[in-house]
Amino acid sequence: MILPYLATAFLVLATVYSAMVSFRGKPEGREAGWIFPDRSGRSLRIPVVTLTVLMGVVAWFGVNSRNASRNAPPRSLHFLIPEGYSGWVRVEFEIPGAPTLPSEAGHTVLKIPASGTLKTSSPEEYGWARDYYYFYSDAGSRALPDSGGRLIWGKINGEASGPSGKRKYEEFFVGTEEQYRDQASGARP
Amino acid sequence: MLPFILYFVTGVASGFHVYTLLFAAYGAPLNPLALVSLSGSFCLLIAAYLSLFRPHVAGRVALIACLLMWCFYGPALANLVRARLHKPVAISRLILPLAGKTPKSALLAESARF
Repeated sequence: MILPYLATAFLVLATVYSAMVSFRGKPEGREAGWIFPDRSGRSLRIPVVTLTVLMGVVAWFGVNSRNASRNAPPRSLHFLIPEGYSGWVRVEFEIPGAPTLPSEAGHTVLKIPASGTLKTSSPEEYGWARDYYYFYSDAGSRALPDSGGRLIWGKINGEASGPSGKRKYEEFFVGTEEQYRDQASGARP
Repeated sequence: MLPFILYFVTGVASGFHVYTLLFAAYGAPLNPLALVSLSGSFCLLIAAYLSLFRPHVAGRVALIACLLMWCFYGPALANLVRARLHKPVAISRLILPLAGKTPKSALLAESARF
């Protein structure tokens, strides 16, 4: 991290130089040198100002494009849940060595294994986005039924600290309302 | 050309440095001295532009800008030097019994010194 030292060194130089210029008085009758020059010629001023403006514009667009990519809206998650699965689903993010989450048609796909726990090295995305849930089997995948009561309950995301460090996770329950209430009254996995 | 380069590089380097410090930690309160320093960096850029036309006036503007920036860099440097040179005080010290004395009296004698 060289920037703080560089900034401080230049600040010292600029302070000393500007103090010398200020207390030296106006250079009337004295010959202007390259250290304490008189006003620059028009031939020099125009390219310098143009170059500075160009640098400013490039820096502005550079910072804006970086912020735009950083603040990009999160992609919606497509959860693929095993057909007939009932219970808690847990997704653990930023697990070293675990596979990254694949993307399909602009969506992030999370294929939950039969155990209900998916580990990935991908980071968790925050912000507003609508998530979609599907049951999958050998025959294919189908969206969770809209009618007949909801099947996703108690969705939470959090961060847990332990001996292996911090872990970010997301959890939700798959099942009927009755199943959710039954397990809520008992012990959670 | 020298004053222009000096003021411009200093303004950009210090301005970018303070800007990154201001927004390094999400949700952290803003340091008013950092904002003063940031305004100093902006003034230094103005001084850089002025130096092409009126070098003497630019020098005065640059001096004021540098003083504004020292409001932040001065205490920061002082804290850095203090942190590097400061020798922490031992919070505990092992006291061994002296030869020829009983352990209890030795401990009492040693502890009375502190």
